[in-house]
Amino acid sequence: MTHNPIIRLSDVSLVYQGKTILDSVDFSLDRGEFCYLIGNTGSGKSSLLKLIYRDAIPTRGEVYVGQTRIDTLRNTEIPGLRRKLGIVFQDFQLLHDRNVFENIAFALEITGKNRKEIKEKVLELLNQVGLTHKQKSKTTDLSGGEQQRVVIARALANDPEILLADEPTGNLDPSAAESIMDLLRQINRRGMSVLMVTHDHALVKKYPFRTIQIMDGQLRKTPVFSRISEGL
Amino acid sequence: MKLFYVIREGFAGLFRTKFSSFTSLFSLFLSVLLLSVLSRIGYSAYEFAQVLKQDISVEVFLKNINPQRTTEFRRLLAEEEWVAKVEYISREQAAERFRAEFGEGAESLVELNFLPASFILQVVDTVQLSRINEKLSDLRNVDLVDEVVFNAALLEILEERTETLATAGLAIGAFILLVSLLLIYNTIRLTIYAKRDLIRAMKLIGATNSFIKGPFVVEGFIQGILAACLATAVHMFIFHALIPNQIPQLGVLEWPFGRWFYLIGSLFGISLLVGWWGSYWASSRFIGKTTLTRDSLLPKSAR
Ligand SMILES: Nc1ncnc2c1ncn2[C@@H]1O[C@H](COP(=O)(O)OP(=O)(O)OP(=O)(O)O)[C@@H](O)[C@H]1O
Ligand SMILES: [Mg+2]
Repeated sequence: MTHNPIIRLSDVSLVYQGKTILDSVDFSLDRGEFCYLIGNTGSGKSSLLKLIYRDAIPTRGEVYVGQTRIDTLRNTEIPGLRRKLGIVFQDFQLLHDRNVFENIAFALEITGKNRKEIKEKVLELLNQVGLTHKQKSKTTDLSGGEQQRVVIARALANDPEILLADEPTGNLDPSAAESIMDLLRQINRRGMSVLMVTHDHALVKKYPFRTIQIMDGQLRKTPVFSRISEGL
Repeated sequence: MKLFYVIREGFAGLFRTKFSSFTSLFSLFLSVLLLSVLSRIGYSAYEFAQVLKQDISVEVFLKNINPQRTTEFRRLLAEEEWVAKVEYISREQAAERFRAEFGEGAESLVELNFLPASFILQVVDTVQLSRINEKLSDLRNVDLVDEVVFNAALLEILEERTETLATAGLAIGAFILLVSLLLIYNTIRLTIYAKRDLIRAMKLIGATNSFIKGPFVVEGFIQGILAACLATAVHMFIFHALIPNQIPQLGVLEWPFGRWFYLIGSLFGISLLVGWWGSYWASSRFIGKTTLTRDSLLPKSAR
């Protein structure tokens, strides 16, 4: 382990409406690491991600992204944090009144890039996720796997340091899920840190990485998967 | 790029919530139209009253003739701030005038020395009637004065009506304006609600609230422009076609201060201000409240 993690949660507790969702959690993700977060439904996986993209504020403890403490950020600083994060959800969150190209370009428009820069970047991203031929398609004409690729391309648009994925394969059939996993692994190999929430044990077995399990609001390393990942 | 984006999205928002866009636009249109019509009528009535005042004089009939006191009284009258001009009519001049009016024959009927001497006062035309009336009751108490005649019934009615009309009209106009503000606020709130997925997607990729706000504020602004254009068109129709046609003796009423752009400028100013304000207010409030996820864990105080 390096001493310069990209994400660090230190003694974090999250209580929401009187319910303890996370209890004294310590967690860190190294730069360039791929890590799974697993656990039963309602165990707090999505909540942990929310702490990182600031859709939740810890009741106790500290959350860092890189060197920045984010639980104390002012509201005006939150967009800056989110540009450092690529966020992918299970439901694809595409804008169906725009085509594939426009959905990705949209993420670049907010940063004030010019038309030419946007076009170049979008084409590069489409190439990376293997959808160059679908750039003019309506999002509703795409398969689930293809839609998720568009989402991933959009998440990568502003060159984030971390990819946070909450069950990115949750709505996909096994073969589409595997091709998304291949894509995420490939992105990770290029140096992106990835934190992925999943329910899919088969996938974890097939693509083994460090795996953290949440149970009763606390983290535990799962012996079986971590042994596999250590063996690699 | 950005400008094009906010304008396109602003128009799209207008159509997305057609019904409430229409109501807020219509109410804004109605309020600025009402205000502009009232200003124009009010101003014309005011102008007309000024003109009438120039023709109105006060006759002060004197009791007996004490030349020294009369001269003194005349000097005092001339110093009054509401008096523009003082003219002295002696008994002889009064008789002369009577004769001129009724002919030589009148003399043989009556001795004309029953006519008293008087002052005829021209009133300063910017002075309010109520102020003049006050002054006249003072005058009636002067021992030299026998009677004061001031025939301004028409003028009085005109001034009174104008004032009532202006006060009631402004109150109603201001009220509808307030209602328009709330309706625009509500339209923008609905647009934001209809577009919450877009707003979430924008927050997801790190758009700032002020960037997200842009199109919504522009939407309110567009409503302001449309309402002002419509109100101007109807205003022009009323004052330059309808009234001159239906009431030809009135003709085309004058623009306040003689130029069209004071009134039309204020109309646009008020309309744009209300459109902008309502949408800015709503978007500041509701875009902040739209959280990245539907099941956000942010405490209410942090939204
Ligand atoms: N917006 C909310 N309001 C109230 N309670 C919530 C909210 N969001 C989550 N919770 C509660 O917090 C706990 C953790 O929820 P979370 O969504 O993090 O679970 P999860 O591990 O992601 O579950 P799943 O696998 O079903 O997605 C659950 O008990 C849930 O009921
Ligand atoms: Mg979840």
